[in-house]
Parts: sequence; structure tokens; C-alpha cells
Amino acid sequence: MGTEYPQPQPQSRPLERHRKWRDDLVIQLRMDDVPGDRIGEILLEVETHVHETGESPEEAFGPAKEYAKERATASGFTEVDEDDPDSTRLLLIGFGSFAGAGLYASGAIALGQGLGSFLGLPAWIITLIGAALLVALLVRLPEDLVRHPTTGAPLLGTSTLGRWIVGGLLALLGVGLYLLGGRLA
Amino acid sequence: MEWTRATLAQSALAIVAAEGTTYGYQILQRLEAAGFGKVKEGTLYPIFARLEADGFIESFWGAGEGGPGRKFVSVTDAGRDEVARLGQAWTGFDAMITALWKGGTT
Repeated sequence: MGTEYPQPQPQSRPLERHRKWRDDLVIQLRMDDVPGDRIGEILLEVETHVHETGESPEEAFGPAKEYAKERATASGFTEVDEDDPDSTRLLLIGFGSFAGAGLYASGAIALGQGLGSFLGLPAWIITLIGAALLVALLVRLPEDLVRHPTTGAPLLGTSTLGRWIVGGLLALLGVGLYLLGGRLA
Repeated sequence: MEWTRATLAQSALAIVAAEGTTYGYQILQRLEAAGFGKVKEGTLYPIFARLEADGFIESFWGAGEGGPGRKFVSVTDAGRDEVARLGQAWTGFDAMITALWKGGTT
């Protein structure tokens, strides 16, 4: 070899004109448990071809979902198996979300009603446990961003703003439930 | 024709081995020129993924021509060995089929 290839520079995104195809591809790859950095690589392959040839991704790669499945299989990833430990993790996250939301809401309402305790514990502790569960799960939302294979830059935006928004909404919800509890008292 | 489909991955590997380092669009052009017809990029990249998983090629990203970047592939030593092995296997297969279809015996 011996040839030095320079690092790619940030460029316009050819797939912005084919968002639905791109989004269908990413969603199916996620469902097939393909890691974010691998998804970034697959996206960039498509973008490069679209840029160089002017072909649409559908013309060159076929339907997004079928191509995603083919890439997942070729790369050794498969759909989430029900017996897979990752599936158990997802179930726990789902259960934790449900439990956290229930405790948070119940605790906030109980506080608003002036109830000293709830489920045998001080209402403020119930609220705190629920909030802690929800925050912990928020923090654990996928860090597995779709990234550029060499620069590491997120290719589809970040989840940080989304987390702040969801966190803010949760806080507002808590205040609303507290006030609701006061009205129900 | 089914034969071209059956030998596509091996042919792509052979092209990478001949070029040393190349990229998808260039391989597609070489395949078309060799008689494979218009092979889609969507067919080639899964082949790359399998060849890389088997250790026959390596890939890396470099600058494209004003675009988002370009994925280059290069052959590994194992890939070169595989091409050599395929070449020998094909020679034997070709002799066998030729003898059979022309009514002779091996």
C-alpha cells in the first residue's frame, strides 16, 4: 500500500433528501441490535454511493428494511432473541420505567394530599425512589449513538437535549401531580 | 446467470487482491467490465462485510471526491492465500466439468 489517505471532512449529507429511507434503515438496524458505530459506517457507505453516483439509495441498495437485514446478517448480528440476555435487560428497563413512573406519580399525589406516608414509607421517599428510577433509566438511554466511523461525530444528532427535555417534563409532571393531590385532598 | 452470482464474492475478492487497495465503485466497474453486468452497491457491501469478517480484506475510511468520505478495502495475506486457493480449486473444477460436459470421463 503505502498510500496516505486523508481523513474525510464533514460534508453535506446526501441522505437528507432520502430521510424516510435513511430512517427506515436505521430503525431496522437498531431492531437487529447492530451497534451505533456500525450503523454509522453503513450509513456512510450509502451516503458515499449516493453522492458519487446520484442514484437514490432505493435504486442502489433496495428497500431499506431488506438491506438492513442483509447487512445485519452479513455482519453477524441478528434480531433480538427472546432468550438473549439483552432481551432480559430490555424487560428490566421496561419494568423499571413502569415502576418508577408509578412510584413517582403516587408519591407526588400523596404529598399533594398531605399524606405522611404511602406504601408504608414516607411519601417523599416514595417520590424520590420513583424519580431516582426514572432518572437512572433516562441516563441509561442508549449512549450507542450512530457515529461517523472515523471522526466519531454523531450522524443523527445527540440524545442530550432530549434527556434534558424529558427530565424537565418529568419535573413539571411531578409538580402537576403534587398540585392535583392537593386538589384531591 | 447463476454462475456469476455464485462467484461474485470470490471475484470481488480477486479484484481487491489484484488492485491491492480499492473502493466499492471501482470494484463495481471492474465487475461490469469483466462481464458480471451491473452489480448493485447494495449487493457488494454485504459481500465486503463477509469478506472482512473472514479476515480476507480490511477496510478503512478516507477522503472521497468532495463527498462524505470513501470506504477503501485492501486485501490481507489471508485474502491473497484464499485467492490462490480459489484459483487452484477453479482449475480443477473447470477440468472436471469440461470433461463431463464434453462426454469424456475424468
